[in-house]
Formats: sequence, structure tokens, C-alpha cells
Amino acid sequence: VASPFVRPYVRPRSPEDYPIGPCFTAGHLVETNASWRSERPVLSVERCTGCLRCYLACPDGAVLRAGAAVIGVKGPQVDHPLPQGEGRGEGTALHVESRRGRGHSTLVTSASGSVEASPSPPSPSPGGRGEIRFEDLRLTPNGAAVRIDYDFCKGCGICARDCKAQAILMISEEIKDVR
Amino acid sequence: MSVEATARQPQPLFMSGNEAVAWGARLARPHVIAAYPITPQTVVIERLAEWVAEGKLDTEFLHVESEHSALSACMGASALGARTFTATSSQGLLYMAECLQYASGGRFPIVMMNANRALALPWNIYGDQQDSLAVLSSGWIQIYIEDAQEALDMTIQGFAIAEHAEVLTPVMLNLDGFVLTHTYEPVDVPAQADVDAFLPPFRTPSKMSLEAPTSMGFTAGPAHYTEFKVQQHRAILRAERVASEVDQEFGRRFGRSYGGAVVPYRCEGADVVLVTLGSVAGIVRETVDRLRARGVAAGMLKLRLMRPFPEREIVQALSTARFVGVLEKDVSFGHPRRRVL
Repeated sequence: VASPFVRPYVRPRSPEDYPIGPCFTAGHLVETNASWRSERPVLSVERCTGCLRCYLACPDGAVLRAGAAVIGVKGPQVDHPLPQGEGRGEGTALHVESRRGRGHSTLVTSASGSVEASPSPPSPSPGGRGEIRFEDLRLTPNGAAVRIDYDFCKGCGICARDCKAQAILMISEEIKDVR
Repeated sequence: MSVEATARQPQPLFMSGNEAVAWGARLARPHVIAAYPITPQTVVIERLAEWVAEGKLDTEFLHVESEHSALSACMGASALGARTFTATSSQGLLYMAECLQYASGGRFPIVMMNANRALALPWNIYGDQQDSLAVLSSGWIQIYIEDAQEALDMTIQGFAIAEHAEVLTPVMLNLDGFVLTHTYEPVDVPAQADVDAFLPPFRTPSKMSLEAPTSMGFTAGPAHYTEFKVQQHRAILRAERVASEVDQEFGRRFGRSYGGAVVPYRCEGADVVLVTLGSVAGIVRETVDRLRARGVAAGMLKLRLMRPFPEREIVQALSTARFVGVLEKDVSFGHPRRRVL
């Protein structure tokens, strides 16, 4: 199922129409809100262990569990094509040369050379080097435990910082057409 | 950890007001207690902590670094569906001020004991109601207690009122510092099984759950904020009726009830009525009897609830009185009717 799960805004008519206190079923979204993002998270299915730390840590509920039932009424789905005509469901493949230090990975693209993807500079660290495929997660890639709702992800990077397996990488929104 | 349920004590136990509150809290089986000690409330926390340490009370006791943290921790636990208890006094209550509004706005049914104590400056640890009356509009139900037995019983009733589906509002139980918190009286301790039957487990309407995720403590802009506050106000007004019903049910089960929001004493046909609240009511009651014996038509009106404020009952009880006095240990600075005699 593609995100987001927005539903039409229904104006409450009386105080009785409101929830009791400011706690209510999550996912009661009436509009998308992701225009302030400058970086987006991408995921390596290979590295993801399915621990769901990112799901718990995301302050906006933008990390969704794969196959989880969506609570509430599903509104009309908003079309959001991938940047630069990438195929939906296939993700945007990024070839990443990874140094296995915490949060330090270097993106390598054939078009533009090296792009630093983490806020702190890469540092030499023990561990293997190899090519890891990271994907945009508009649709759940095969084997992934989570996907990300890019219509609500604000790009804070908490998921990437919290991921023990370094399966999530923050990349600039300027990186779109990568092979 | 399983805790052996206590039977009804064969005879009343000799205990202070503080210990009575601790017993009431223990029998209510809270999941979480978060509190910071302060005179004259300290014994409440000491007893509960001892029982947890001794395995007599199966509760997550959080040793927090401040009253602000104590109430914050209670809010978090309450949001998860836990029954929570805390206790404070005076400066500690005011240190919670921000969280008081947060808890009532969040509709978290926390029960808190407050040992009424003077506010600095000048520094003073003794009894005075300035602390709770300074936070009268914080959205909490305020109950004022007269003796140790009522303290135990009302701690149990407090949860039933706070958690009632029509109320969902935190409850503050006020005991006069030292005069009530440190006075020892014989107190009947009911059986755990009877309290369990009276007070079923708390069922929160918005539990934090992976299966049905909720958004907790969200924002409401000007278009919606007032509606939430209207709802909150209506709920605390309903608490007057609910508190009365809870007290009647408690009376049926335990043989003790305390009346509704107000308790008139010899107010019928009374010429002179003293309106008061808290532990001083005992002395006033005796004074009323002495005056009546001397032919003065005196009466007392004890307020048990300050919020919600029982206006209708007060007007009714004072309908025949020509002279009304009000005795409370506080002052609203700058209020024109608070004359300095």
C-alpha cells in the first residue's frame, strides 16, 4: 500500500467530537507535510535486522512496519512519483562504499563521485568495506521490515542515528538520479 | 513478583494521617509511584518505599530528582495505562505547577496527596492551605480531608473518581500539614480483596500500544484548543456527582462514607454558620455543639471539594444563615474581601 494515509478533514461540530484529552489514534492525518526535508533516509535491506528501533524512535511515525495494518480510514492516496522517473516499487539504487564506523558511510555515485552522507566526517574504523545497496522506501522492498513515509518524514535523521546496524543512511535530497 | 494480599486488619491500626494515605495508596495497587520527599509529606513516601523494598507492594517506585520529575514520570506512566500515585507539599507542589496543568489537560487520572504547608518566604514548614489554593485553577479535583480514616478511604476513592470514564481528571488529596499528617489515630484497614472489588484495574482510553498506535499529547491550535478546555471543564464539573456516587458505593461496601461535596453540620435553621475545610472541622463541630447548648443557633458547613466548587450546595446550606464566617488558612493577596482585621 502506498503512503500517505491521509483522510479528508472533517471539522468537529462540538466539543464532544474531540478526543478525550490530547491523546488519540495515530495516523489521523489530513495533509502531507514533508516540504522542509533537506535529507532523506534510505535503507539497506541487506543490513536491516528488522529490530524496529527506527520504528520506535521516529518522532513522527513516518517509519512504518512492513505489512502493518493501518489504523483509521484510508483517504485518497496522493501520487508522489520518485525523483527523476525512478520506477516505483524498485527503489532508488545507491551504490555505497561503506566504512563500517558508526554513522559513517560514503556515497559513491558514478555521476558525481563521492558524496558525504553523514553529518560527521568519515573516520577510519575496523570492519569490512563493501558495496551496500540502499533504497528509497516508498514501497516495501522485498525482505525489509520497515518502509518510510516520505510524505511525513521531516528528515531529522534520528532513525539513522539510532540504527545499530547502520542500515539507514541520510542522503541529500539533491541526490536524485543515481545509479 | 506476586504479593500476598493483606486481610482486613482485625482491629484498627494506630497510624498517622501520612501512614493512612500510604495504606490507601498501597491498597489501590498503583503500578507506578514517583515521588520526592518533602516535610510534612515524607512519611507517605517512606512507608511506600519500605513496602516496595520488603516485597509487600508490587509497584515500580521511581526515585526522582524533583517534584517536577515526579509528576512528569506519573504522566508518562499514566499515558501508558498505569495507575499512578504521588505525594508532595508546599514548595514541591509549586515546583510541579507546570506539570499540574499538563496532567489535567492530558486527562491523566493521577492521584496525589498534598500535605498542606505554608509557602516561603518567610520559610515555614507548618500547616497552611496557601499551597493547594494557589493552584486551584490547575484543573485538578481538590479534596480536603478531616481525619486519618478519611485519608485512607479517600485515597482509594480518589482513584475511583479520577479514573471514572466521565471524569478522567487527576485528584489532589489535601491533608493539613502536621495537624493531620502527623497526628496518630486508630484507623480501620480494609482487606485487599474488598478494595480490589471496589476499585477495578484502570482502563485507559488511549493506551500506548504497538498494535493500535496513538499520538500522545498533541498540539491544538486556536481553532481547537478551547474545545479541549471546555471538555476538561465539563469533566471536572461532572466529578461532583461522580465523587458523591463513589462515596455512596464505598459506604455500601465498607460501612463508611463521608458525604458529598459539602457536609452541613447543624445547619438547619442555623443563624450563624462557619464555612471551613480540612482538619479544623473537628474543633468547629465541637464549638457548634457548645454554642447550641448555650442557645446560639450555630452550624458548620464543611467543604470537602474545592474543585469542582459546590456552589449550589453551599447556597442551599447557608439559606437560613444571617451570619456566615469563612475559616481557611490562606490569603488571596490583593483580593478586596480579604480584610486584615
